[in-house]
Amino acid sequence: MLAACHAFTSVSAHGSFTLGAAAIGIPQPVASRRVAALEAHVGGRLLDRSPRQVALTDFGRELLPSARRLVEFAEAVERSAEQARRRPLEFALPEHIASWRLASLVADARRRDVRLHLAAANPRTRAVSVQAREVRASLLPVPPAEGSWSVALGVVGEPPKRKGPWYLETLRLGRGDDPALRRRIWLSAEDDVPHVRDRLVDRSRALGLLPGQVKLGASLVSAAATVSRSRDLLIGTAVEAEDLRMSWSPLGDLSLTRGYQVEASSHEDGRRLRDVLRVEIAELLGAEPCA
Amino acid sequence: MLSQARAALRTAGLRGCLLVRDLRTGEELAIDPDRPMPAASLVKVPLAMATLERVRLGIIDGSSPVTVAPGRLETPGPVGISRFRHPVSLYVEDLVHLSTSLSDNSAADALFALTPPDEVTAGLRRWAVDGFTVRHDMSELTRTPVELFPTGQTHLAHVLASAGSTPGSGHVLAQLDITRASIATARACADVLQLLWTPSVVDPGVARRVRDHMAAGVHRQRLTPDFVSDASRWSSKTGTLLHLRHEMGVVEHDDGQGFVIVALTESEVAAVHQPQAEAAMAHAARYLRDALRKECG
Repeated sequence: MLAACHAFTSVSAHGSFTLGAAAIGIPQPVASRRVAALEAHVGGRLLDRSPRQVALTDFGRELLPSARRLVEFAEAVERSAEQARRRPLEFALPEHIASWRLASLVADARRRDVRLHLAAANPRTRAVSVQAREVRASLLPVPPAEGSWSVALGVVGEPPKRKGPWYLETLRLGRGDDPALRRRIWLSAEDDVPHVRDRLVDRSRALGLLPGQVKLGASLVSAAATVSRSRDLLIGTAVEAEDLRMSWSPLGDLSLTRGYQVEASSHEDGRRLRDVLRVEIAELLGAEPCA
Repeated sequence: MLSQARAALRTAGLRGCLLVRDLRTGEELAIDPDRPMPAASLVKVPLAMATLERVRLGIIDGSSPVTVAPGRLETPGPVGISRFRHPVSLYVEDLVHLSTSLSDNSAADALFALTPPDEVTAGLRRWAVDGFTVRHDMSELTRTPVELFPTGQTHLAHVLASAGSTPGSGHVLAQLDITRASIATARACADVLQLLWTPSVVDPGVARRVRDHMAAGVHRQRLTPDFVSDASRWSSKTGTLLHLRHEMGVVEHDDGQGFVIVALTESEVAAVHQPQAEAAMAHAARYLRDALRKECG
């Protein structure tokens, strides 16, 4: 119906099958066939074909406005589809990622024809936002085996005396030590998830640390501030340590890993982030892309 | 100062009943001293007292040996006949040593066979100790969830212990339910030690031997490091059951001063080995004893 109306309105506007067909980029016989099909469909002649020109019948004149409207609406649908394709993809990421890294991601994404609009929030907010469709996609923490990306966690803030892993058991107080001087290990909100937090707490108990020696920081920044002015330490990635200008060591007596997966409100958006931008997102997080 | 001691315990994830008492003046400082808790191996002290008293009176024959079946245990922790692979023949006096100094459960149960739990409790009541009740022997305590979980997961039994309380101080585990288990309050423990360390209705010979067995205690990782010295004599009995860590003892200084020290604690940390918690118990107990000594002069 649409193609037929398109041919009909164009031929009528140009007064000729040849010109009308050319104007919409179809061969003249095709235009003739489509108009004929429309006439069969509506049950009457729309155009009078005479050797010199093509003119509207009375019937055709009655139908022309509606046919035009149908063609215009179709063009409007195509225009809004085009616009939707161009709309930026709101993507929620962890907080406190350095601006230059975020800018790099946006630039790299543009090169791959993905327009990103980034938002930063804690893991809980990111999960809620994508479910409530406030953003089109979120990067969410998952157990490493289930993620498209995984990044190793280590200890941030211990002055590096030598290369090598740092042992959580170092924080264990000796019998003669004053509990008031106990060192603490801080976890940021990004790691307040069972596969990181619970593993750290269980291991610290088993190693003989006091309950108060593992603490949840209000944010990465507040935890880092505490770490910078005390002998406390922070759990974080090597990239986070670099951005905080602090040292990073892998953990010796526990292996902690963050996993990340994209959750998107549309399958297509998810695919674009997971597959098209897999390497770029890995670089942003300092992560390994998983199979 | 009580809040300081409480804070020291809380930092280590402990909730406790503490009592320190000056043996001469009777002055004391205490935290929750009348709260009943499962007594665990602390029952072996009144068991020793009742047994030796009944030997003295001729109710138990102390002159012929008793055959005791071996415990054949292989897990770390228990010592003595509990770990033996073959039966032994021992005199009651020596069983009392094993039960009290080594906290040997097999020896204790051999003694319970001669003096049932009810009779031990009756003895306590005769000595005017009300807050200490013995309801079962030690074999009951080897049937806890710890024995059910595979090695490497025994801390899960501690999660169950911490979380399994029911309203009214009951518990899903019989051994931790104060209506079904043997129980003691810190004050009752202190009263028992007072009976042993000061002239009392307890026969002096019986009291001396129980004191000596407690001075020879082998479990020295809890309060002992903070109270033992060349200038004093430390005697004690520990008790451990799942997340409960207890000790009751007496420190006698060479200047004649003596203090009863009782610490009954429960832990909310799901770990079997907690050296820091034990250090915190000792720290809190020492702190209270020092405060008491300053007050009394």
